[in-house]
Amino acid sequence: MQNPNQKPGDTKKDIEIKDKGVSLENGMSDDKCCEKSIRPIR
Amino acid sequence: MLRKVHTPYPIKTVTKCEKFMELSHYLKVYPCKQDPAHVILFSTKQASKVRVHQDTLEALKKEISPDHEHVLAPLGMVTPGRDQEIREMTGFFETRIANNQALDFTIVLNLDCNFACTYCFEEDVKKKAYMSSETADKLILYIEGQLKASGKNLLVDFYGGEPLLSLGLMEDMARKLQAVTRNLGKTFSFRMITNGSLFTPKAAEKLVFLGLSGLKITLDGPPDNHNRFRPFKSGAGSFDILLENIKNTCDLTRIEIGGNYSESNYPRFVELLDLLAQSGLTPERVPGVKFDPIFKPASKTIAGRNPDLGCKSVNEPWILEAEKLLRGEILKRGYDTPKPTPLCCMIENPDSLVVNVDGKFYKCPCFIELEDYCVGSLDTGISDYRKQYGLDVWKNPDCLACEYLPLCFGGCRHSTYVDTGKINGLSCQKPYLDSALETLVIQDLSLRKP
Repeated sequence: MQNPNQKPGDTKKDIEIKDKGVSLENGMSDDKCCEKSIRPIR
Repeated sequence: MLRKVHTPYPIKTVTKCEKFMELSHYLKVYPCKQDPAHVILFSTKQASKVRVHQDTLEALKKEISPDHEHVLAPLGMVTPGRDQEIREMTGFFETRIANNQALDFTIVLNLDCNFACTYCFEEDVKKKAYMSSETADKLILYIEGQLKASGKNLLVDFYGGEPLLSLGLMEDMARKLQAVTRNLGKTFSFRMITNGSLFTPKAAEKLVFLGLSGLKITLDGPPDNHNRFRPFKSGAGSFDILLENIKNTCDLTRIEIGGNYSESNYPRFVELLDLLAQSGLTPERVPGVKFDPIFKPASKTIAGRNPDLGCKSVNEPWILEAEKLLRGEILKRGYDTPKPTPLCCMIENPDSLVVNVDGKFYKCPCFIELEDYCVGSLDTGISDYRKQYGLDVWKNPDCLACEYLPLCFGGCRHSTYVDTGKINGLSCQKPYLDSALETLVIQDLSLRKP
């Protein structure tokens, strides 16, 4: 059924992974909040 | 061992005799308009997305099989239980900080600028103040000490004012920081928050050699609109010079295009996207574009001059319409733009520090020159700023119960400050996310180029 190696877009599964997102293991993004959020600072 | 588990969904409480998982509380379910039998699950905790059949979702609400757990656990979509997930969220920053690879210094090289943007939030702090070479050398020694103590790499953002008005000092500091990090066996790179007017090919070549990894240049829509909002101090328009600089340097380093819109002019930013493409600034050359609403400035000078300028909150309804239009047009044209992902405010990140021209420390560049928010200096070191900056303001039952917590964490402290004059409060983004997040998630699935 679900394969841990399933790639995004594999439609044969009953859970289709579209985006694996981000992982806590990578630490914080080095993007500043002003770059990522909708609030501009400049 | 018997355990009672309360799922975030209105289904009966179940009791099981083995360890099992349940769906995360920080999960949104959105319909697939083109395929009503399926839904999209979006984890606000990890920004992951899956498509599942409605029947599968109903089954998942009742019980997570080991096979489903195997798929959903790495995506942050299942949890051993609500209590554990609350503990995970309250320790969210600590967990991520422990995995940080780099110290992140924002260095304010000067408070001067050659632009006179109509909405500049730094209007009240702008002056002919420049970091001295003595302060810069002291800062490099401080950074070296922090690198030795932490064992981490180094990331610097040169900031202003306009940092390229201090090009010589920037080069000198980058050269010295390259040497320091090389000796410690660590990496170093830097970025700039610049208006782009002085980012010539000659400057770009020097800075890329010294570790420049990228920058964002702001274009406020088509030329006439941009020149009205972002003129030089002399009043002359800056659009043509910026476009020329971007064209001449974008193959040397990664340049992202930003833009700040208002309620009345946001539709015109589509014209800028067309103009970029016509100018040869295709997604292959400038991969990232992001437009943001102008916020009501904290500056009394600016606010007095433009009482109608800017919004007070992300929750104003027109922002959703503007975002939907502009983000869609950006993605359709093949440019990248940020996805909604867990946001980590630099105030909450102990590896992040802002150093002002005079060597004083702050936790966010929006608060420089405000004595109440100074957290130390190169002479005194850093103080305990937890209360001063309202850390943990989001660790309350209402925020922890909100599915959007990982995308918001209490919102922007500067927005709270602009709104209330104090930092210790929430700038809740729930109304905005209630109305916007589904659109953003579906846009990312349907329009984003692989």
